[in-house]
Amino acid sequence: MVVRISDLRKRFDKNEVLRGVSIEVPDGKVIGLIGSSGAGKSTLLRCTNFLESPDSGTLEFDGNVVDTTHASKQQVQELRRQTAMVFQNFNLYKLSTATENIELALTHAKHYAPKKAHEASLEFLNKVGLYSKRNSFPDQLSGGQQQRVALARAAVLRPKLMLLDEPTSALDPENIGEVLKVIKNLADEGQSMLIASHEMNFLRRICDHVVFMDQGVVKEEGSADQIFNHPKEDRTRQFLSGVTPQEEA
Amino acid sequence: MPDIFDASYIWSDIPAILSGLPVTMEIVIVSTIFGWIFGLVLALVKMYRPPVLYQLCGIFVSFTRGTPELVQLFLAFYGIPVILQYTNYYWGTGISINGIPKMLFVLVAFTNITAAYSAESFRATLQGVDKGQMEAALSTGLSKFTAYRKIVIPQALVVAIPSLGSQFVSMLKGTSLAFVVSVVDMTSAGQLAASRTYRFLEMYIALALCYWILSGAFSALFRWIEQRLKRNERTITDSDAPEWEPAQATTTDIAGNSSTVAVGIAPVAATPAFAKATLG
Repeated sequence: MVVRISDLRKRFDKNEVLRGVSIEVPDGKVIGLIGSSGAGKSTLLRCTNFLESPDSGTLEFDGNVVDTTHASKQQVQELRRQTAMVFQNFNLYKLSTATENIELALTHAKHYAPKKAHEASLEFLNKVGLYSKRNSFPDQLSGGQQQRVALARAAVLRPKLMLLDEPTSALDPENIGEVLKVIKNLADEGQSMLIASHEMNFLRRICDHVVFMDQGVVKEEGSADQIFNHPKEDRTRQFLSGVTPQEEA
Repeated sequence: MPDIFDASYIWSDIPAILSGLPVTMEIVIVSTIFGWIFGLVLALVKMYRPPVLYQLCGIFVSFTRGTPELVQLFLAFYGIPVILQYTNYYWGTGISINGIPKMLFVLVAFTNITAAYSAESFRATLQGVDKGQMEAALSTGLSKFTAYRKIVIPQALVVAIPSLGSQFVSMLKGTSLAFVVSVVDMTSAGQLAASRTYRFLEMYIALALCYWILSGAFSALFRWIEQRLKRNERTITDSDAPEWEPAQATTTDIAGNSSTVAVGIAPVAATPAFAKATLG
């Protein structure tokens, strides 16, 4: 068992966004998070990475349990080093080249020697097919290329869990394909992932397990086949009929 | 025609005026360095709002920006010795009041002025940096300090440099007040020269020219710095190999397994039909 999220709760003022969410991500597995906007998918990912501090609940990485209510600064830092986040808007460092974007956390969080970090960065840029763009700045890259660099930046850290927050939502259809292919390749190489996405066809193909969230709780979960083809809950059926009409036909 | 105005004095006064240039530059550069550091701290206090400190900083900035520079120079000139007299009296620090260099008063006053004006530029530009940049840095396990140092501050500086540059130039002109506390900067040096010839108009024309040229040079310098900081707008020159070659024979793949051949994903082309094709 790699990661276990237990009874995570988060409230923004009066709005309770997460109402006791528990999810397990076994080693090397890919978990899909689906649900309508506002269901709490992004907040769950951000709480797992402590970009938002959860109000309560525990996070367990390889047997190390952290009570999120009393997490120390060191524990938060350690948790962040075991996860890596990929954002909807890429969030590449604007004044850094593709290579520098990937290197930074290696040298400053993982304390790699600069040469080793540089080599690892180039290796991962090559993995995502962007070696030729290694000296380009983010605004010289297409959206799809930027997201591939962001995927390389996350994957190079070899995180126990990669958190992908709607990685293709800001992309046009041409760019979506290239990004999904990179995610698929990372999954095939055994990278554990938690992916919030509306790309149902893609999730169906790569996810070992799919979680449907609604109003801050896990409404239904199961294998991709079970959730997409034989959902038990009415709410799940209703959601899927809205987003994947072609599947129902 | 009587000898009312003699342009030759303009040129002959310039060397005397320039003898004060090192002092003027010392005031400007030292005050800028300390003023920007202090200003950055003030900006962070304004952003994070720690109680008491936040209110004190607010009063300091408002006071410094709301009072004339000349008055602040005199406050430093008369205030610092009084403070030292008290510390000598109560804590026996034994600092000689007469031994304080006049320059210190000027540096303290101009550092405060620089800090108060630059704080607002720093705050606005730091808060203007996309929040996602900080989040991306934190999410990879960087400390907040490193995230600020490596990502946020460089981006904020690009935006802040034009306004910091104009504050710098306006301080350069403001240093001409240093003569009131007997520090011999360019203005004082010029006044001393003119007091010997009584050619004040010629001297002040020469002095104006010197300030004008210096201001122009520093404005150009700040524009150049701004372009240097916008490194993402510079041309890319790829001189090394276009193809990736693994540095070592053995590489490690994403899952952490070692292999003798680099595990690579073939460069991907845009494949819009990917999802459909793979789903079959």
